[in-house]
Amino acid sequence: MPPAPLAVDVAFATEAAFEPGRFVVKFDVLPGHYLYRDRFEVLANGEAIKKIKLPPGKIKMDPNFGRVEVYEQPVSLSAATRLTVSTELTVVFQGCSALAGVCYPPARRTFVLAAGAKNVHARELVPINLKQQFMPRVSQ
Amino acid sequence: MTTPDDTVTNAPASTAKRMLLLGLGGVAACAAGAFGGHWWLTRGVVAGEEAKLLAASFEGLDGKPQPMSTWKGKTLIVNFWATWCGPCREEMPEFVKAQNDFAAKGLQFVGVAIDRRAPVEKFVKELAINYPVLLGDVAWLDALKTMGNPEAVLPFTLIFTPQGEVMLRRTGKLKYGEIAAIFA
Repeated sequence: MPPAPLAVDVAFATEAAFEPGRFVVKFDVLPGHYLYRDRFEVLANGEAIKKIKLPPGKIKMDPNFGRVEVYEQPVSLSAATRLTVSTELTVVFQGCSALAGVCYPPARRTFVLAAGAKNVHARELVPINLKQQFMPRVSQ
Repeated sequence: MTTPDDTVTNAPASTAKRMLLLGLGGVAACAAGAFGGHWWLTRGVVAGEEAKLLAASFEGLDGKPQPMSTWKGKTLIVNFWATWCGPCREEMPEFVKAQNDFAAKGLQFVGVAIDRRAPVEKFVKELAINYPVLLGDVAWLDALKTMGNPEAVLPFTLIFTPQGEVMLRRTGKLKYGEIAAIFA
């Protein structure tokens, strides 16, 4: 019997760093899990950022989807964009657990560029529910 | 100004933590096996929640609402899936076979796709799926958390007795042999 699926936040922990003119989001990928390279989306204040940088993934011949690129190791995504205080940066990603034999629905993480005491820092918005998280991706 | 150190993490995972998480998962799986059950399948289950599913209505591929009560009195297997989910697609040919083999004994599969209409229609046609496939709103993923799917993953399958009681909850693949055993 396969193990119980981990929470998506545990399977793919995310960490965002803002730098002048660009941002970097690091995804941890626990062993036995993977993220699809072509299913990342990034939005700044709701507008899609088309040019995102991702390293090449591992090529996998998937019986369902053919040739796909996946990340089975931690991966960083970056994009150049103008960021100002209160910019909301949203990252959408989708992955699966090979261990549990399941897939996670597209997940959404939003980070806010907010003014801190000394430095500008990212603050993650906690999603309210799955409907809010996935509606733009799944129910269009 | 910002620096690379200006980070925020939703769940920092050091190597030690990664191994601990996986280790705990392994221990849990062993414990589940040892006790002959799967404890996580009842984690977060709220009694009676499945009644909402049986009382619900989903949009059919023909655009008409299809009430689940249509199949009252059947051994009902409700499979939540999506075309973007590889494991979901892999198990469905076995469902087609099971529906063929056990329909006469009262088996009724119903697929609920958490997906858009176009890819679902294409896949249903490709696989010649021989049971009703309905479209479910993403809000159902939240609802499934209290029915034995705390992480809202796919595939997720519930098997109901003809009396409407839950016989089996499954995150991950359901095999033909398990279905056949019900009718042995």
